[in-house]
Formats: sequence, C-alpha cells, structure tokens
Amino acid sequence: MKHPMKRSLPTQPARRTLTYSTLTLSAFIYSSLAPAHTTGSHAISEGLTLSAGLATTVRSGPDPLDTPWQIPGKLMGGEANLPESGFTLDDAHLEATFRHRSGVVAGAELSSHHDSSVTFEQAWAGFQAPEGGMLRSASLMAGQMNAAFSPEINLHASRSAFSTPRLMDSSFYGGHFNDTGVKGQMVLSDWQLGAELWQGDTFPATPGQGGGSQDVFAYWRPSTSSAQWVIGGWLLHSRADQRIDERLTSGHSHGTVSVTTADTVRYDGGEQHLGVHAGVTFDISATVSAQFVAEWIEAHAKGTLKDTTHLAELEGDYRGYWIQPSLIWSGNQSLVFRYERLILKNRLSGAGATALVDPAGLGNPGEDPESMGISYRFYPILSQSDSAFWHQLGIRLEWTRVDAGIEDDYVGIGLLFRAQDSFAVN
Amino acid sequence: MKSGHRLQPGFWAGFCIFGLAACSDLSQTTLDSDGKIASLFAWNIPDDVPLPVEPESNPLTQAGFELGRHLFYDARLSGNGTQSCGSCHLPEKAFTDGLPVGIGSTGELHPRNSQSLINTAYNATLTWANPSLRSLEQQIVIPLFGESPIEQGITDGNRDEILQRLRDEPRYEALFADAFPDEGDPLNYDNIVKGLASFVRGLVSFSSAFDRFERGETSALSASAQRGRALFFSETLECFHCHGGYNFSDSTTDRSQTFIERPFHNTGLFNIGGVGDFPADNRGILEITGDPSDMGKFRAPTLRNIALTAPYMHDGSFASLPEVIRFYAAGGRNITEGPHAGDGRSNPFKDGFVTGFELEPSQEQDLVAFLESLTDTEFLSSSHIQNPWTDAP
Repeated sequence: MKHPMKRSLPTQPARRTLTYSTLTLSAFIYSSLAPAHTTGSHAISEGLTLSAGLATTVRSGPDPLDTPWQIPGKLMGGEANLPESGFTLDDAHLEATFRHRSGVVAGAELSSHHDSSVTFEQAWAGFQAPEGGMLRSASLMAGQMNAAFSPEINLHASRSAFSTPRLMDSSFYGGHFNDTGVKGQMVLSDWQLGAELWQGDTFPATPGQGGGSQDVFAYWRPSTSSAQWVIGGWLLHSRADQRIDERLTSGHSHGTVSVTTADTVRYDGGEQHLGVHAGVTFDISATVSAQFVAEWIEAHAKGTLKDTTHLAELEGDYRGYWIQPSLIWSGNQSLVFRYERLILKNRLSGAGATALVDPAGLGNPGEDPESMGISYRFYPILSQSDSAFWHQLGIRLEWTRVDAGIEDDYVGIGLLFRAQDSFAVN
Repeated sequence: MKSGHRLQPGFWAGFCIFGLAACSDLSQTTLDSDGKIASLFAWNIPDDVPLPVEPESNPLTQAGFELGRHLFYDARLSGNGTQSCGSCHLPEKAFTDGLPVGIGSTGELHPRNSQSLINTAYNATLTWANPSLRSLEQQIVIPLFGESPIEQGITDGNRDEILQRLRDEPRYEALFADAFPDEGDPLNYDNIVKGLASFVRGLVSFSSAFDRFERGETSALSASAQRGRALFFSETLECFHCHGGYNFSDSTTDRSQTFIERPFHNTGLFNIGGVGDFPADNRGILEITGDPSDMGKFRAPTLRNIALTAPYMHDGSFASLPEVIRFYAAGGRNITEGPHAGDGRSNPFKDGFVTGFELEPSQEQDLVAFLESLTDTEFLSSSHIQNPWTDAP
C-alpha cells in the first residue's frame, strides 16, 4: 500500500536517511495520531482498498438529556448530539474505494455513529485523471459523499484525537457534513483546490427547491525537511427552506404551558461560511514531533423564523474556532489538547421575536459556548509491513470539559481499531 | 514549500494562540419586538406573557377602561332597563352567571352558556363558535343589539331613549370626555361599544396559584395540584393540546403573532342519529361556515378561573369539573335515549385528541386540584373591576 504521506517525503540529500525513517514512521502513525490535514492528496489508489475503523468509549458523563442538545444561541440540527455516559459506540465504519487503471473510481462506506443504526454514508463514482507533471491528482465524483472543504469535518472517531465532535462541527454542520452531490478537486504541486455542489440533505441546508449548499476550498501544503504545513480554507453557502430541527421527534412531553416548541420553529434563509484551517507538524527530535492545528469559521445567517403563529427576522453573526496542539512520541503515543469556543450573536426582529427566541434555542445569556479536552492515545499494536495490509489497535484516555448548553466534565476510556488492505484488480 | 523558506513553526503556533485569544468576544441575542410592548394602558401582565392586540381604532386607555366599567354594570344600557352586561357576567363567578345558558333582558334563553370574560383580549375569536368574530368591538354589538336571541334588547325604537338615560347620568359626561377627549359629543353608541370593549379587553388575569408556581413559588401549589399539573400536561390525557399555552386555550392570539389560528373542536358531546349531528340550535361553527365537517365544533375556552364558571361546555350540560373530566375520560358522551340519543364517543367529526383515558379517583382529585389552582382570586376581588354603581347615591 502506498500511503498518501509518502508523496510529500523530502527528496533533498540532506538528512535524507534520518528524515526518511522518521517521517515514514510518522506518516504511518499520523494516519491515526495526526490531524487529517497531513493527508491532503485525496487521490484514490489503483485497485481495491478496504478500510475499517472502530471506536468505543466508556465515559463518566454527561448524563443523557431529555431533549436534544441545544447550544444556546445557534439554530441546530442534523446529527448534532452530545455523547452520553456509559458505553457508546462512537464509530464503526467499513469503506471500500476502487480505482481502475482507466481512471474510473468508485467508493462506498457503511458506518454507524453514536447510535445503533448502520447507514450507507458514502456511495459515489467518478473519474480520476492520471498523474502528470505538477498534477498529482484530479478527480470528479458524484454521489453521496463526505465533504472535503474542511480537512477535519468528517474525521471518524477512530481517527480523531477525541471521541466526540467539536462544538464548531456540531453547531455549524450538524456534527458532520455528508450529502449527495458533485465534487471536483485537484492537487497541483502543493495546492489542493476543489469545489462541491450539494443537493442539501445535510444541515444547515434543506433539499429541494430553495435549498442546497455549495462550497469551494483551497489548501496549500508546503513542507520542509522537518515540517509540514497546511494553510487554507473554504467558502460555503447554503440555503434552507422551512428547515426544522429534525432531531426533535413528535413524541414530546410538555412540562410547561408553552405550546410553542422547537420542533415547530422553521427557518427559511441562507448561511454563508468562511473557514480557515491552518496546521503545522514538525519534528522536535528523531522520535518526538509536535503539531499545532487551528480552525476558524466566520458565519452569517439571514432569514426568517416562524411557527404556526409567529414570525421574526433573524440575523446571526457567528464565529467559532478551535486550537489543537499535540505531541507525538515513540511513534505510537500522542498527547493532544483541544480548546474551542463559539461566539454567537443573534438579532431577532419583528412581532414574533420574543416568542420565538427560546423555542428556537437562540436565547443566550451572554456566555460563549466553549469546551476543552485532553486526549492521550497509545497504540500497543501497530502493524506495519511491506504488504498492503496494516492494522492498529490502541486505547484512548480523554478528559473533556464542556460548557455549551450543559456544563459538565467527564473522562473516557476507549478502544481504537483501524485496518486497511489493498488488492490489485486486473 | 521549498527548503529555502524559513517557516518557524513554534512562532506561528504561538502567534495563532495569542491571535485567537485576542479575538475573544461575547455571545449575545438581541430582540427588537417592533414596538410590540407599547401601550397606554397599565396591563400588569408578567414579562413572559405577550400583550394582547389593541385595535388602532380603539387603543386601550385607563379612561376607556373606566368608562367601560361603568357601562358594563349599568342596567340602563338595555331596552327595558333591567339588564346590564354584568347581569350575565358576574365578577365573583369569573364573569359568568352560574346558569346552564344565558337569559336575556326579556327572559329569552340564549342557546349557549355565558362565557367567562377573563383574558378575552387574547381570544383568537369571540363567542363559542364564530370564526369571523375577531374583535371585541365586533362582538359587543351582538348582545347589545341582537334580536335572536334578545340580550340587552336595544332596538331602533328605544335606542334614543337609552342614550338619553345615559346623558341623564352625571358621571358619564366626565367619563366619556376623559375617554374620548378629542370628540365634542362623545356620548354615542360607537363610543359605548368602544368603552365596553375597553373594559372587557382590560380584564386580564395571570396571578393564580398556578402562575405563582410557574414563577418559582413552589409552595403555591399543593402536592395534589402538582400531580394534577403533571397529568394535565401529559400526553396520556392530552388536555394541553386544546387548553395549552399561557391562556389555556389553543384559540389564543397576541401581539407577537403574525399568523392567527382559529381552531374549533368537536368533543363528542352529541352524535344524534349516529351521523355526528348536534342539536339543531347549537351546531357549532357549521352554522357560520356551512361546512358539514364543522358540525359540533366549538372554541376551546380558557381554563383560567374554570373552578368558578360552572356549569360547563357550550350548553352548560355538566355541573361540575369531575363530570367534565369523566366525560373526557370516556372519550365523549353516550346519550342512550331521548331526542338527542347517540354515542358521542364515535362522532365522526370528533377531535383526534378526545380519545379517552383512565384515571384513578385520586388522580381525578389531583386534576381538579390543579384546575382549581387556576383561579385568580386576587384579580377577581380587586376593586378596579367591580360594579361602580353599588356606591351610587
């Protein structure tokens, strides 16, 4: 198997032997320990590649909520959920990608996230142009896919430093971004460029007339002999038509006299996101590497909120960021710190403003939702061979403090497994 | 990037950290309710309850309310001088009369029960079953001038005489002048209607034991009432679907609303002949709309002060709250004999929420205790809504 990281190995003579051995090991380890930005090519290997991942966690909190999790000050939806105390299956996925020598590519993925249901997360097909000159890959795909505009938005818990999604992904993208659409991207030298057109099945958009999402993204991934960088970002526009928070079901229980509930509040309007992602991975010594990754989103929402009797105009200016410094040592251990914060500003106007603010979850007492956590991962089993097959088995210890709709801190211990194999297809 | 570049990872990482920290800000949500809290009247309504709608042609003022109070309790405002609005809407009975159906000034029976006037300002529609009656100014002309049935009995033949009675009352000159300061001769029927509407509109009540409990006074409700509250808002009993919201009625409107819902419900009181019929003189909004599916549909009244407003239902057919609860527990009423015989439980037009439920006797008592907690004794005993003529010389 040819790991994508190997494509960015240094070629200059200086430090070649040490650097190659360090980065080869790091490249493999990074596939589990490093952020996704270190694997930027997105090229599909020729033949059939099967990969699987599993992540489970036992947590001390938070206690299950009676109603869907609501970050104060942000319309939510999609699959934005807090983890629950006890045992959870955070991630189980099986993915297959195929590339014919003609350039035809296809992929499919079965997965389960934080619940017992198994879904077809990806099913796509397309064409990938052969490499040549500065062009390292170029592809056009269509079908149900994970978005590529952010390197980390769809990272499975078996690969992520933490078992739970970031506040930013939960609030802006309903936990993750997976939709049906068309994706075109190319990697030209150190640049990755792409555009995606989505039909709007995923939050914050809605499907059908008046809905949908579009995004463009660009990343620059330079590297030196001892450091790798990624700097880039994305622009996303989405439209929602009569969007409701689908996490809310009809089996509601009313403990107050209010008849206006969040599941009746609908949003009709658009959102624009500007995201910036930056990261660097650098060697501190032959066996120790450090990373720093950060992401920043500026978002603007403008539309109308209404229920059966109320109407209000909503303008929202949202900012979110997370920073994640980490250390990787001995090739199989990592310590990661994560801090994230949301700044959510809403202006509601019109007759229904007062009536809708709380049912919509937009009431905010002037506190920025935030969370922080520390994760330690150790992979005692780390198979690496010349064959196309590899597998990893590790544990994760994590501590998380969240102050975003709930206030809690909890610890978790989890099991991580990943495996991948590649097959030649004639 | 090529090897000649000089990127210092540690420097840039630190720069980003400080940059992010420097950009710290505070979340906030601001509301502009579009002037929806403006009023000339001291509503005395809790902050979490929106204000009622005031018509532009008759904004509520204290002077208008006071004029209306005098008119409301003045029997001279009837054809034969024997009946005031307050004759059928007594404050001690939460502005009902305790009778199954109302009785007009000439003794004619109204086909329907006299409704409470508390929080009428929030009604999406007025009376028991008229989707077209949207304002108190529209509604009040019916008891004043209606001929079928006759209530106040004001006719073309006596209207001038009645007006003269009011002119002869010394108090009214100042009351009308205060309420309508821009008019030279404000004592006319248009302003009488406006005055009456102002008084009724100002009868708002949100100070019951239940309200105090909801605002955090945990001792305001007895343990039994708290259990009844849980039952009331449960999906098992479904009460709150039609009697929910701050006014305990789904037919509620206020200034925050842009779209007005006007729901009506058939609760299964009758099923004459097994075809869904109601008595010929009391068939709900069918009488207005002509739509056969509207048979037996009536507006869900507020349950505020409900313990004082017996008998219940649009025809006053239940004498007590336990009777009403048992009726809903049965999912309707089965009349086995007589001209109205029929099983209301299977009325084809019955509301989907009236499906019946089972209650233990103690639970029935809890539910009654909760309904009794909706009585606002503070408001009903306050002097500003009482009959002003009792101290007349």
